[in-house]
Amino acid sequence: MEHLLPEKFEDYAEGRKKGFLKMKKVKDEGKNVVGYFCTFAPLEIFDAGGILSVSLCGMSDETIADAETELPKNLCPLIKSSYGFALTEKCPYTYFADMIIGESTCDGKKKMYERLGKLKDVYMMQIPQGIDRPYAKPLMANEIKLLVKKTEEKFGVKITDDDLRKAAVKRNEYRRACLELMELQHAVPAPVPSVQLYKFLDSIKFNFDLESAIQSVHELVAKIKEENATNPDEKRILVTGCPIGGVLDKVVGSIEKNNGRVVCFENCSGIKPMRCFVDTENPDIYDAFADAYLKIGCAVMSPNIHRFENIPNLVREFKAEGVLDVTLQGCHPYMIESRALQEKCNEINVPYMNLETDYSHSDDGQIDTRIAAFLETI
Amino acid sequence: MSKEQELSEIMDEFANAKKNASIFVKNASENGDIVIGSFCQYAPMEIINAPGFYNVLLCGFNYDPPIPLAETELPANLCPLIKSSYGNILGKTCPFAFYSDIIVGETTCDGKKKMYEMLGKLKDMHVIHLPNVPDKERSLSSWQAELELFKDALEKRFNVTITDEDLRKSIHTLNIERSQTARMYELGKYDPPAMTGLQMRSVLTAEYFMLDKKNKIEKTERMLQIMEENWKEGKGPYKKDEHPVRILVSGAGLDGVIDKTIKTIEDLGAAIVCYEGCCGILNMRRPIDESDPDPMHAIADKYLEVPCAVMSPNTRRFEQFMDTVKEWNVDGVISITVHACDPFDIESKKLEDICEENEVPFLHVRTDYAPGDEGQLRTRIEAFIEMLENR
Repeated sequence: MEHLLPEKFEDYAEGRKKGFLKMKKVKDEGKNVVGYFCTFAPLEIFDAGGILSVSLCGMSDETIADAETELPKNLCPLIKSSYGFALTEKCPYTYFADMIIGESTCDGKKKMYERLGKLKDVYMMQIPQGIDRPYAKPLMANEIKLLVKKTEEKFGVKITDDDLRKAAVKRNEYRRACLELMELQHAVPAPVPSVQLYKFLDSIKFNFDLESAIQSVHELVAKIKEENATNPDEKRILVTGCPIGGVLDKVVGSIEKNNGRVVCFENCSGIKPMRCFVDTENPDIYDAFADAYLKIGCAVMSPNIHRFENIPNLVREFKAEGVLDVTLQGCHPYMIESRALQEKCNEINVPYMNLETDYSHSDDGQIDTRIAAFLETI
Repeated sequence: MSKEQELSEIMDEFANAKKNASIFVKNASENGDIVIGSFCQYAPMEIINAPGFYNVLLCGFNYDPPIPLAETELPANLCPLIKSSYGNILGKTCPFAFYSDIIVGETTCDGKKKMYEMLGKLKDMHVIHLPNVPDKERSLSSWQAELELFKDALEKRFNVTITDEDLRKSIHTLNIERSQTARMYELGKYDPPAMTGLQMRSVLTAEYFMLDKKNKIEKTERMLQIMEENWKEGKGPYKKDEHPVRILVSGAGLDGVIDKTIKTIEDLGAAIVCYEGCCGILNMRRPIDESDPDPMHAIADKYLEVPCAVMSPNTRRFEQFMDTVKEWNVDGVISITVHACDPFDIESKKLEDICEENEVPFLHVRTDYAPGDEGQLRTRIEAFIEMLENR
């Protein structure tokens, strides 16, 4: 079946056109595509069903003004950007997604998904947030089961427990490969340049072939081990907080420029979800998924046990000399949690700074000054 | 005592409910009674009242001093209700929190949920986690489990047993209250309305502060009766031949902005005939099923229907919205949301879409507890009402 391109396709820049043509080809070849937003989406389901999955989080301010015609201005830029891309048909992945998974994480996303439902087929997945509750895991397992059912119905495929288990083995392998890369930063000095590390981790999610994705991580690891050229005076920073793809250059770029190096990204595209391995030996694979995914230390969880357990450990493990907590404007969960994190960092005696920013460039200079000052104090 | 005098005394009692409640709570606490503080409609009052505990509302409705104080610990860019509530507890300016033996926090929105984590350091707290998807098949059993945890926590903490019989009694009492609120909203249906929106607001707020339920129910009953009779005799709040523009007010967290919104709307000559959204008509119409053999199930089942924007999709709210507009013969809808309340703010757009489809004039105002926007709000509301009057 031939798939149509957006009406405004001809006006798009070359890079964007290429993205659309790539996705059109995938669709024309009969592949099914599922879009998702959060690390809570159990991608093993789509792997098992032979369905491509792709992250739809908006990372640029290009479409924010469009989104603000329907969404409040005082909302997190990631949510506005994502919705704006759907509204303007400027994101090939959103445009060609057959179904979108809306994980009920934060208020803003949850309510944005409802509006997105008018443009696309959105399936709401419920994420329990009281992770200390005895019913949280069974509820999550049930939601995963319902998502499998929905996927089977939507795409006319059959997904067995065995398929899921195989997919989980593969995803675990992918997680391990990514961890191997991230753990190179244990070394003093840390060998991987900060922006390059994040960009790689972020872009690899768009490699639809998991096997080749794993391969390319291995290759990068080998290459870095070989080069091993770094500056021993760099300050070792742990970055945590909201997803930072949309503020990478102004924040992480500035860390690099000011003689710092990110030794660990604790954010969503970083280590946060990567150590949540699925126990493939568990006789109940759904229970194994629920177990793994509920370990993601997102600030929507209350209390956010895992984040507060992990950060002190990561600081030690990666010998971080400072914690930079990046929150996006309007992200209430991470903004409020930053105070508790500051207290935690005081407790373990590691310098802490919170940066609140958005996708615009109006604060570039100010961010740079603050980061420079922070790194100097370390 | 004349009817007019009686009504005016009842209305005064409602208006002063919050003030009087602080003395009531102080005495109750000194008598050894248990006082539970809570934040929203989701706090299952049936369970709290069953063993004879009092429930008080801790939502902050004032700006100064609590908000500037709260902003020393919470982000400034957060809903004023959350900041005010936290600031009043932090600064010990809320007598209800002060006398609360335990605070119940319902995770209705991200901001409250995360604020409770901080509040837990100041006061003894029990958090009630809400589901996100109001689909009974997906969420009812875990929601009931969450309520059972709450009941167990109360029993353990205060060394009481909450029997099904206790629950049934409190369900019955609160069903009466619910049906009275629904009947109060009916008074707005009349043309001209038999009650003003400001009066309704006062009764709605009193719900949380008239802790002697028997008295509250008796007074409300009398109020409904007198207002109805007055209307028939042409002695309601509006003259018989007066036909003010009829407004449906929608939204949440309104109590902190009553003067600059609700009161302004009515000062400008329009009549608020009904409320929709938090504490609005939707939730009052269906009582809790008293014939359910498992009262905890009946409570869970009902509370999952609260049409709060925390639920996704909040289908129940949107399905009934146009029915409310039609039933109350509404001329225009004013949606009021407070700063940084994402759930209601985003849903407001959906209400706007529905209104546009049905050609119902719609106005969305965003405001804050902080003073400064009164003039601007007044101008916008005035223009909207004028437009309605000229239609």
